[in-house]
Amino acid sequence: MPLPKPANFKETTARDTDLHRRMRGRNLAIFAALIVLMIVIFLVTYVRIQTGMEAAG
Amino acid sequence: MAEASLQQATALPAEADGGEARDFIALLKPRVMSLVVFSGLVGLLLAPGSIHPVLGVVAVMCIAIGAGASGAINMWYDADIDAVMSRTQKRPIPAGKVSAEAALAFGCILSAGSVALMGLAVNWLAAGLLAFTILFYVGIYTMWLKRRTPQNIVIGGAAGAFPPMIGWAAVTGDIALGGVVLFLLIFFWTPPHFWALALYRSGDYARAGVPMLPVIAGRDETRKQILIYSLMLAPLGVAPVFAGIAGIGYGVFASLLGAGFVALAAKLYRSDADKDAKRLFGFSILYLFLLLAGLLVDWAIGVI
Repeated sequence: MPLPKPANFKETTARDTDLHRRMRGRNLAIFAALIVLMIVIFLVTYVRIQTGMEAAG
Repeated sequence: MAEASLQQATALPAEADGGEARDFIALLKPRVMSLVVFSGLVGLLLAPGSIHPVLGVVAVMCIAIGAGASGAINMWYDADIDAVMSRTQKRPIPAGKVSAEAALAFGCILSAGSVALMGLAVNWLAAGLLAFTILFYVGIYTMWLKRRTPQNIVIGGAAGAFPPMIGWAAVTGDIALGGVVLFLLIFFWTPPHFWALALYRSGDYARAGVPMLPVIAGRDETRKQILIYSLMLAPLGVAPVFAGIAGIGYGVFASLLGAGFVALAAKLYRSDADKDAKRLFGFSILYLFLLLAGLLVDWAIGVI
């Protein structure tokens, strides 16, 4: 027979700790930064090719 | 005494296992970054010639990231004194939220990334200036001057003065008089700004063993130096008119602001009250912001 849980007991899993929450937040921030970097590189490449083509006539 | 406090403070929390994203953002000194972005943008817009808007945004972004990255490396190196000073002890490293190694790696990666992106997307002169700024702030100011001489912020202040020159170089690909004038403006603004802060925080700096001017030369000498630098700064505020990058309207506006700056510096020189030092510190921030905003408005009127 399982022991009764205390009133303030909070069910947690290995992925639900404070450390994991912080790591998830950080990973999402890194992911967002990489997406922004990809967009920036795409835009810069596009602009440079476009201006290069315009300069070449 | 200062050494004992330092040793005590150097025993930083060992469980800095990697902070949240906002702790890493705090490493970039967002408030300093905002001024850098603004001054870089002013340099970029005032420069003769044009740049594609996308490349302009990328240039300002690179300036911001480079400045933030040097701030992160500064926090890594200064973690021991940051832990002693009340103004800085809540920063991510002394607070135990981010490890010193993680801050260093973060700063180095962003530094290299911002310089490379600036070079590839904009031009290599702007990238070279950005790299020099980061190295100057970290190597010359943080590692060499800050703990050795009361002239630390006079020379080190150059690092904060480069962004408008970088913005200028991003457009023109060269270093011209206009960019140099903007550089000088911030260069001469920095000492009275930081010395006003150091006057009412001198206890903090003394505890940390940082040889700021009030700690080494005393309050009287500091107030005198603040007044001298303010007298040099006020005419420099009008210099953009003579460099041909601003009109008469801006000149009148800058003269009034400069007179206000000198008046507050003179009041501090006479009174030696902390409240006057705080007032000058607050006004110095407003002064630079309004001066740069005045340049932008003057430029916008010219464009319209």
